Amino acid sequence: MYAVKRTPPLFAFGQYIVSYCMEFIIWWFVAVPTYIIKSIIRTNTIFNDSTSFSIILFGFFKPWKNDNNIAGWVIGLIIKSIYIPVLLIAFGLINIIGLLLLLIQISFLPIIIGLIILNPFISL
Amino acid sequence: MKQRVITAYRDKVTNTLFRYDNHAVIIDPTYEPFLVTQNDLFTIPVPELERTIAEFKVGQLFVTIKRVFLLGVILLALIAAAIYFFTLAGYISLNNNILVLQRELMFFAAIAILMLWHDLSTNFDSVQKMPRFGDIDDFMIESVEKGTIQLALLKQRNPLLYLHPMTKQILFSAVIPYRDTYILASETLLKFVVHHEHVQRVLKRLEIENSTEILINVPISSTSAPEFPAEALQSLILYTVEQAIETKSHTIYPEHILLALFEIFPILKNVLKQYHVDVQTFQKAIEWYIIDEQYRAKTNSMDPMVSYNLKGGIADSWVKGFTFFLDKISFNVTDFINKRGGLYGIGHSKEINYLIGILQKKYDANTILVGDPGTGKSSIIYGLAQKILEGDVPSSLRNMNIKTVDINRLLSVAAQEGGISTLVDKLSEELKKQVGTILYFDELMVLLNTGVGSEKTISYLMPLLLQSPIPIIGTMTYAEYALLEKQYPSLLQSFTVIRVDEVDPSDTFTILTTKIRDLEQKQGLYITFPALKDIIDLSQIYMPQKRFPKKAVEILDQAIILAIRMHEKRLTRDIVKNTISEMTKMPFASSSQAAAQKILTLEQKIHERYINQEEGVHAIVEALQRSQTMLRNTSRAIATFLFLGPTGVGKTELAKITAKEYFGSDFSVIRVDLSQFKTANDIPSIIEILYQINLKPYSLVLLDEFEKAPQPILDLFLRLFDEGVLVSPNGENIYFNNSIIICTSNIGSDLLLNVDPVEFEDARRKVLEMIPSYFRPELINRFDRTIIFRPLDQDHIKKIAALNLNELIQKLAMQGITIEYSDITINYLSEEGFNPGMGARPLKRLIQDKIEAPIAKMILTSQTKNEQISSINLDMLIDSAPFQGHNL
Repeated sequence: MYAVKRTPPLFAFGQYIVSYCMEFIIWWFVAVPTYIIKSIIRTNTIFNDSTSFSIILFGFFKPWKNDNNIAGWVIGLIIKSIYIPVLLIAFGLINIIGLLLLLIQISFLPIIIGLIILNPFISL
Repeated sequence: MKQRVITAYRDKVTNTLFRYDNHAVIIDPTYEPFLVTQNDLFTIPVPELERTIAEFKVGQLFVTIKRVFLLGVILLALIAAAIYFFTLAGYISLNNNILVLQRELMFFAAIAILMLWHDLSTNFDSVQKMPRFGDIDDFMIESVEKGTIQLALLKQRNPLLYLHPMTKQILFSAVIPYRDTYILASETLLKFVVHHEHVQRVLKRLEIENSTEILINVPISSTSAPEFPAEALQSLILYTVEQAIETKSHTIYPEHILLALFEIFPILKNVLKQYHVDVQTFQKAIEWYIIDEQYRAKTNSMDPMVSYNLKGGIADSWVKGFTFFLDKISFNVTDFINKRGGLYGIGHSKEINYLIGILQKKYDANTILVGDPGTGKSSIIYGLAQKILEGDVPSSLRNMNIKTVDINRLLSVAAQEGGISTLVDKLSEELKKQVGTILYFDELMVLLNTGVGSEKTISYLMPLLLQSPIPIIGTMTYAEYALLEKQYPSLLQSFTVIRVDEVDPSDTFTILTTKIRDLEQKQGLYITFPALKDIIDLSQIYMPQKRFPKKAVEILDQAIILAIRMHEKRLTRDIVKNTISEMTKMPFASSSQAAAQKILTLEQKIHERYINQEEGVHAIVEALQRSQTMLRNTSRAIATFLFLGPTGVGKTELAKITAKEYFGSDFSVIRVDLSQFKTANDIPSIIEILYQINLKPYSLVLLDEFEKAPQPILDLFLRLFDEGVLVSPNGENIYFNNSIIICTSNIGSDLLLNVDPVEFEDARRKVLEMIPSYFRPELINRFDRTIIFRPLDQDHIKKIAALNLNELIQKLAMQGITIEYSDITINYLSEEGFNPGMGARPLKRLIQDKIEAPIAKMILTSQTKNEQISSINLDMLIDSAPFQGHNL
């Protein structure tokens, strides 16, 4: 007496189609958006690292090149005050582009399906 | 031994758990196999298995139809799109319904593209990645063994999600429909696995040629590996998971099926044995390919699936401070490791973690790494740099830079900046103003001792080292540390000492494997795993004086040079053996036929130059034969002998002839005449002589007049004879495990002087009884054999005379002089040169006086007359020479 039984071919085929559709939907609506979000985070990480953004931000009140005197402190404050807004704008642009991409990706499949359904009623 | 996985099963009827380690294939439906790690549970329920098999069987057909259909849709859509745009542009006029259909086709094509993309992204990797599993603790092991484990508390994992698509393909292709169920054909499975490219590359890496036929022809199909019911897949897949976890893989690859089959059918391991490869090495080779691929995948920093190392960025120094002078005299280790890549600190994780702990201290976060040369002190620093880069350090150490001071740059910059003192002042000021740097001094003592007297670098660096604003790490050997402790004890107060031990052989093997890819790319060579394993195994025996991992890396480098010299494309075991043989000057019987022949005929060779004393010769040759075939205990000397006998019987001569015939030259004898050393104060002098063994590890150590040494000196040899190690006054180990030690002594020579051959055994027994009155029992016990040399009779002297004359003939032949002699000379020498109890020495002196001296005179006379002597008749020479008498 064996535990594993053969599934009838037709039933197995149906089972496969359902399983495939589920897998495809999970892939498109979970795996791909996750990848895009991770890519946006990675782009932020690399941009932050290359521009030393967080180091500058957390060391905003530290003197210029750690030179502990009034001049060092003032110069540091001025340069960082110019540098940080520029970086903030760049960060904003990166994230807006990333989020737009994510939006397009998520809505792409429903839009296409919608177009297939509505196509006979559209006249160009 | 630590383990990461436990295999067990559940009896569904009684609901009891059992652990088992025999890799049995469970096919009884009442038993459910499972696998546990510290926090996870792997099981494959029967319905899940049924569904997967069914889906796989229909899926194979469906996938092909689906892809053809999708490509067809895309192709049609392209044509439709072209027509559609021509229609829109007004070149063609079409019915509105056709236009609608064309648009529909294009929308479907968009979905077809997405579906093909989905296929592409899921067909090359497993659905999910397995995490890294740690070791299982004792409590967990005990709870599985006792069956008290709460399976519901563990994280449930489905092994099928971790199968690589190829693994899935191989596994389920071997499942064949049979009546209303399925069977697993083991033989078919083995064929599929062995033919897979991943397995083929591993077999090639292991120097296993023609492996496919051999593995497939192993008789597993008839009795030992029958066709199993499909339930067997549960056990098989769980064993592949086990192998994947053991080889630190995130995905289950086809090679893991083979490893699992090795466990299920141990008969397969015999194939590996035929090629002198064990399963562990096989596993290591698989692990290497997996780690290598994972490592290479890390090169794309934009890939969100791989870790990203923070580098600091362009404006790092705005906050951390600027190190103008330090940058001039140092280079950034962290940057270097980031650019170079590789894996560092293998085998030293304990030391690295300790170092990280010290570096977090607010004050005196300074460390000295003390260890023997070659133990990997620098690799600890590189390992630390790697951990910093990977962010695997506490927050206080994140973004730190390790900078190593270069002594040459320091001296050159000091010259430009007005001397070391000025430069150190500037450095101190600079370091006070910056954070985020760890200063590293490799070979700290070399730097500190640079200069003379008060100009020594240490006098300038001392204030900086004592009150450093940043952490300092230095490395030094034990001898240097002892010196520093003696000379500058105050300096050590601000440093914590970390002892760096030798890396163990298994970790050293891993270190060697991390170098394969680079070396293969640079040198165009193919490096096999058995070659690396031989480097570890042989260097442990033949180079005990050096430390892992450096000695293994050195051998690997030398072996590559040899392979290139020999125009070989592969670095194999034979090349490694030849390399170690060249480096140590030791012949390996297995490395060449000539070496094996040499050792087999050694006894005969020695007797060509040495008369009598068969027992002594036989004992030495036997010991050497054992040593070459590695049958001996390698943690002590090849053999330790005590030679006893009257003077002149050939004790020392045998040692010298052995050295010349086997070890290569007379210079391979390290001789200590112990009669010269009278007190314990002489021990350093003895060690100094014996220290030569470090340069010539494969030598014969001759301790002459052994009984004349005082007790403290004899005690020195206790450990040497027992463990093959002597400790030098500065604490360094001197290894003798590749040498033969021969002690000679004249104990009982009075008894042996005029002994009748018939009474020799009686005399021998008496001599042996005398030994305890000279040496303590623990010393006597450490000799492998005590050999009593027989006194020489006239017949022996005759043979020795003939040998000596033959040597003389060879020497004179080089000057173009031929020698003639007959029995007259031999009889003369044996009669005049024989003095019972004095051995062969009187003969030697007689030959010197009666033959060598007159010949020397004849040669010199002929040279003054500008004549050439072509031949000398010794019979005439001894007749004509007045008998001058010789001192006996």
